[in-house]
Amino acid sequence: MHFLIYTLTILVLCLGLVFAWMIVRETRKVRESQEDILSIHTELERAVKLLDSPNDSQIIVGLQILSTMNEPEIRLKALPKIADLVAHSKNPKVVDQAQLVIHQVSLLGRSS
Amino acid sequence: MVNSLRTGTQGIDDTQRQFLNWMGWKVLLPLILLVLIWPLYGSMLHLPHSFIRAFAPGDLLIFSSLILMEAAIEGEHLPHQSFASLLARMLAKISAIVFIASYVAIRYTVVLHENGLLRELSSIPQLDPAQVEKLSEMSLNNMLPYSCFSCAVAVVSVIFSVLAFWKNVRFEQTITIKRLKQESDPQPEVTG
Repeated sequence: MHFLIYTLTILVLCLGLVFAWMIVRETRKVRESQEDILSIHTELERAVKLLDSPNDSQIIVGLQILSTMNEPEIRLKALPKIADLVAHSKNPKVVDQAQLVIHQVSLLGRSS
Repeated sequence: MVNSLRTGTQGIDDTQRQFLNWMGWKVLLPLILLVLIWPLYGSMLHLPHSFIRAFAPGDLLIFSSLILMEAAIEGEHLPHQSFASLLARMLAKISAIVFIASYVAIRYTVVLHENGLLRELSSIPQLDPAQVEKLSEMSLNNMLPYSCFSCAVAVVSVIFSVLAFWKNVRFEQTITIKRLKQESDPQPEVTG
């Protein structure tokens, strides 16, 4: 009986070692994923800043980034600027792209 | 354990704070309180075989069971979980139940040992302190495997629950990344 319990104890401890190794691997992956999320956010914040650029091509880049990345918080924050672009931009491409982002934001509001 | 995962640096801070809170209050505090019995028996009460006396009753098995159950239930609400994850949760729950059952078995065995020792002592007409010591030591040594088992189970349960925490965090991160990178809905026809 004692032998059985000691064997079980050793098995349990071996399992613990496997779990510990998995924790090390998992925390590394968590850090990597966090960096991914951080880089997406940085990119989105850069996109919002690009909307203030005097250069139309830069504005389009910003709008394209906003249209491809689905972050409601930042999109909503940028919404007044985008609406302003639709209303006042003289470049039809900018207006198109801005309308597209507005459409996506409105879809988001409907789906949520 | 893991309620929401914010993004950016705040996300890292939040996750770490959540982890420390959970680890400190739910895991380490009860564990330390349970383990404190050992030095209490050894240093303050000067009882021999304090390790066996402290852990043989299997209190750590109840602790392990609760920790495992918590780890299994936490994050169960997350959508689209893999089969491996569901299986791990199920196994954790089953292990928790098995540990409770083994707690009952160990407790029963320990009580039987104590009862046997008392009966043996009472059957001796003239008690010799050396003999009492020897019998008591024999009885305690019989309980050593239970103490080792309880401690091993507690350690592994803590490790497992830490693993479950980080797994849940990563799962939430994966969902967040998928949502962020999700291609936008069909484009409308826009007029130039």
